[in-house]
Parts: sequence; C-alpha cells; structure tokens
Amino acid sequence: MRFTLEVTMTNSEGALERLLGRLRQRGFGILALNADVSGDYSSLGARITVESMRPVEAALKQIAKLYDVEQVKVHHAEQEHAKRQNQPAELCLSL
Amino acid sequence: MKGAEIVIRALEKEGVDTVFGYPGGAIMPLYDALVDSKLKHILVRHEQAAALAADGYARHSGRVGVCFATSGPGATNLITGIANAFLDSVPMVAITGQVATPFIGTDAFQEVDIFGISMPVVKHSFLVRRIEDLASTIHEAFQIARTGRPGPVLVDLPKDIAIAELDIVAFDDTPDETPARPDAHQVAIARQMIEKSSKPLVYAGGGIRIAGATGELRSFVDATGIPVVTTLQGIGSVPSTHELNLGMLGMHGTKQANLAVQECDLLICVAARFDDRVTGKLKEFAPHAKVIHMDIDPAEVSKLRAADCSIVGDVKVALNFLHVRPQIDEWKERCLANKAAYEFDYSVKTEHVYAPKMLRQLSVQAADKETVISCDVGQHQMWVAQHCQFQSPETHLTSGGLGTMGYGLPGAVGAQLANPNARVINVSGDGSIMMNIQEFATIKRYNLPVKIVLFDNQALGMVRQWQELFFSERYSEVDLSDNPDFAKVAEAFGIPAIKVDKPDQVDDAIKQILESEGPLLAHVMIDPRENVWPLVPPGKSNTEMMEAKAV
Repeated sequence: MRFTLEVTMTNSEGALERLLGRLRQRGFGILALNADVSGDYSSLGARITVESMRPVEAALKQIAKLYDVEQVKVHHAEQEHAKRQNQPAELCLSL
Repeated sequence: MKGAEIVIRALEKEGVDTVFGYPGGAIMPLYDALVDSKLKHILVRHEQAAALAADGYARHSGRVGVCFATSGPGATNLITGIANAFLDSVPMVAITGQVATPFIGTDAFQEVDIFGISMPVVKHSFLVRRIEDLASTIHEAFQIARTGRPGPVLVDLPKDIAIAELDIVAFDDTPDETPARPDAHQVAIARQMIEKSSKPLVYAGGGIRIAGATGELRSFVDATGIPVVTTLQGIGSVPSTHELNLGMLGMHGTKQANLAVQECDLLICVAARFDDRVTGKLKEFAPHAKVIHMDIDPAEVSKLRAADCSIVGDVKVALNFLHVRPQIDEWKERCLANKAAYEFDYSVKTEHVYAPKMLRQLSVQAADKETVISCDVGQHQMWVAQHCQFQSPETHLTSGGLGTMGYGLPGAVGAQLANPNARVINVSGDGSIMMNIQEFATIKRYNLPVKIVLFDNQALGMVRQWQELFFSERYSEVDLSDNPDFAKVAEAFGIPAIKVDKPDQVDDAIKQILESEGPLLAHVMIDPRENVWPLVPPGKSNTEMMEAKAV
C-alpha cells in the first residue's frame, strides 16, 4: 500500500534523519521526499511517500512517537483501496 | 561555570547519586569536574558494562541509570547496553565525550558519529553544540528517559563545549508530565467485556514494573479472581506464590499458562507487547480470545494482534476502574487443576547437580531477605524464570528484548549499588560469564557482596539444545570444554570461590551463597545434556509444546 505522510517537526539536530530511519526500520520504503525548514529555522516540514505491506497506522504511530514530531498526517494515495479497507482517506495525529 | 561542571550540577539536580563509566580523552573535562562532586562514580572495566550496570541500577530502583564513556570506542562500546535498555524500556541517560565541534566530521582521533550510530536504539539523542543549551538538555534528557514509555537517551558532549565557560546558568526544573489518563469510554467497554467473559485471562508484562503498578495489578486480580500468566519481564508482578499465578507463558512457559492462553475467551494484556517469544505462531495465539490491550505506548496497541478494546495511558488508573467479578468458577478451577497437574517435577534422578532444583531451593531459602537475581542469557536464564520464586518484578533482572549475554554480572553490580542492603545474586552460565568477566574487578574494587552462581555445562547450552533438536544434532561451535578454571579466575580477582560438583554439595553451597558476607563465586558443574523444558519450537503454536526427555 502506498501513502503519503505529512510531518511537522522541531528542526533539531538529526530530526529528518531520525524520521527517515524510523520509517526504514519499521518496514516502510521511501518513494519520494520533500522537506523544508521554516523561515525561522525552528521547524521542519516533510512530505514523504512510502510503500509497505504494513498498515498505515503503524507508520503513523511510530512517527508520532518521535520526540521532535509535532504533527503527522497521512494521505492515502490509493483512495479506492482506503475505501475498501474502510479507512478514512486522511488520518491526522497532533501531539 | 565550565560546561563539564554544568553537566555534573545538572545530574545532581536530577537526584543522581551513582554514575557508571570509564574515562578517556574527549570526556576528561567531565571526569575533572567529578573530582569536586558528591556523585559516586563506579569505574567499570568495559564501557558495555557501564551501560548494563546503569540498566541494572535503573530496573531495580526505578530511577534513571546514568553512564559515561569517552568518544570513539568508548561510545561504541556502550551501544549494546543502550540497545538493551531500549528493547526493555529502561530509563537511562548515556553521556559520551565527543571531539571538539570544529573537528566533528573530520575523522579526528577517536571520532565516531555516535549520535548517528545510536539513533535506532535510543528514545532520543542530543549533540550539544552550545554551552547555553547544556543545562536544559540534561534535564530534557532525563524527562524523556523516565516519562511515557521509558528508554535510553544519549547526550553527546563535544570537548570544547565541556571546557567552555558560562557566567549565568539557568537550570531547568520543569516538572515531568504525568501519564495520560485512559479513555473512560474504552475502560467502560473493557468492564463489560470482563463481566461477560467466561474464560478471561490476564497477560501481564514488564510495563507493570515500569509503571509501578504491581499493587494495582494485584488488587485487580484479587477483585476479579481472574487467573494470570506473565511474560519474562512480568515475572513477579503477581507473586510467584499467588494462587492465580499460572507462571510464564510462551516458548519456555509453563504448560498451564500456555493452555490457558489457548483456551481463554478474553485476553487482558496489561503492559505487554505480544513478543514472538510469547506468542509462538501469532495466528494461532489465543485463537478464541477477544483482546483488551492496555499500554502507555499507543504504537504497541494492535501492532501485532488487533485489540478489541484499546486502553492507552496509565495502567494504574485503568486497572483500578476494572474491579468487576465475572462468573468464572469453572474456568478458574480448570486453570488451577492444570497448574496442579503440570507442576515441575524436581525428583529427577541424576548423578549431576540438577540446576532447576538448585535454583528453586535457592530462591525459596532466600525469601528471608530481599533478594535480587540478575540473570545472563541462555538456559540458566530460562531456569531462573521457570523455577525461582519472585515476590516483585524489580527483583528479577533479565535481558528480555535484546537477550544480551553478559548482562547479568554488570546488572548485578548496578542493582547492588542501587540497593546496598539487598542480597544480589548473578545467575550465569559458562558462556555468558565470559562476556563481561572483567567486572569481577569492579566487584572487588568496591567490595560489593554480589554472589555469582555460575552453572557450567561446558557448552553454549541453549544453542547446543537447538542444534540437538532442530539441526539434527550437528553441533557447531558450542563446545566450551576448554573453559578456564573459573574458581581460580575469581580468586585471581580476589573473589572467594567454591566448587559444586555433586548433588550432596548443594545444601552447603546454598548456605554459603546466602550467608557469606562478601562476594562469592559458586562454580556449579551440571550435566551438559540437560535441556530447558517445556519448549515450543520456533514458528509453532503454543499448544505444540515439547516435553522433557530423560537425560
């Protein structure tokens, strides 16, 4: 299943590396990545498309556990698949 | 104030009394600042032991364990201990020296990217690049380590920051966040599920100890009358002697525990995580059960087994709201009948010392005083889990998630320093002891009264057992018959030793282990053919337990 994560996190040392490492280690292959720091360098926004046989909730919860992460949203790239699975097209977890 | 002094002061403000470590080039400023501190520093003889001793200290005391190491090899040597803490959710702060900031990334002497290396095995990590951030970073590290689901936090401290000066230092003392309260609706659903169940079972894990919820769990069990099985880390969360405690479940669990899991219609998972050593073949684990899963970490709930009711937050609060009394007399009777039918048999006729019997006898006789058993990893670890009796989970220290051979001895050092009045026993094997045998020197240096019960089967016993059972008896690199004379090794470090070769020497050995004042090694020779039973073969359902064979 393919989906896109939108992550907002504190721009601390290693934050992006931690995010990508967590996804890889938990079995989510990264297909695309776009990341920017905010104008004042305090926060970091990342949009990552991933693919995995594992459920989207696992990625959401594992990313949400990272200390730097402030918010994570999931967009299902495969809307029809999401409907079949009776999942919302977008999940959001604010911390 | 220098950076190193800020670190020491911040540690003191966190209530730290003991630090485990080993000095070296990049961390010398911190060791210099230690000279003027009241912190007790324990000089271990390998950095891995510093992290593992901090782990043992933390598991037993519930406080954050602290370890120091220098940059490069000092820092990389910590990694196994940090990973050990990560896998078992142990609160730890590891402070590593680092080369000065201008040299980071230049392959300087003893430079490694420990911040990057440690990333997958820490809860969080910091590389401090500004002295102004130092005091708040230490406080933040402690808060992260001990709140929520605990874990290790690494603080990498470059040498130039450690020797820099700061005139005004603001120490942070913001209080910790309290654990989230569980959702009332989910708790209400759980109450109904328990009331309606006819074959409920509590599956208690290591989070009980971490949450300090042993009292709440025992009250819940007594109020509901529901039988309990525990994980390796959950041992002692309900006393081993409690009527409703069916023992450990899983690969080397008791038959009564595994049968109860397979039959139950409601599995109440309290702060456990459906580990593969517990579940066996996941699809066939508790096949008839609905699941209530309570945990502080939302990522654990429904990770491996979908929960019908999820209670995320403080398990103490949740358990207190679940005091209902389901009608389960018949189920309880069946569980207790199984418990009686499948009790371990200690009447094995053997010319050798029978380790399970000796451990049972040792733990029963040790009940006169608070006794901590710190295990290594292997057959003896499972024998401790199966045969020793524990009244509380913080007295059973064992490396569960990572399965770190060499944990037991430094773990015992940490526990003894956390609780000098306790009787601390390291149960080890002839494979594991060699992983951190240098810590005999630490025991001698601080005259710690740690007792070491070393079961010697002249083999890597657990690997040998698996080669016997699952690799057609093709024994590969498990023979340790050329072991050194461990008694002489101990004596060379200044630790008295006794040898136990025959069953009739066991009583006297136990007496010496329990009554001698200082450290002692009991070198116990056992039958190399002895195995751990029962055993659920890997990938099989927990109903497919292999039973004991006569040696």
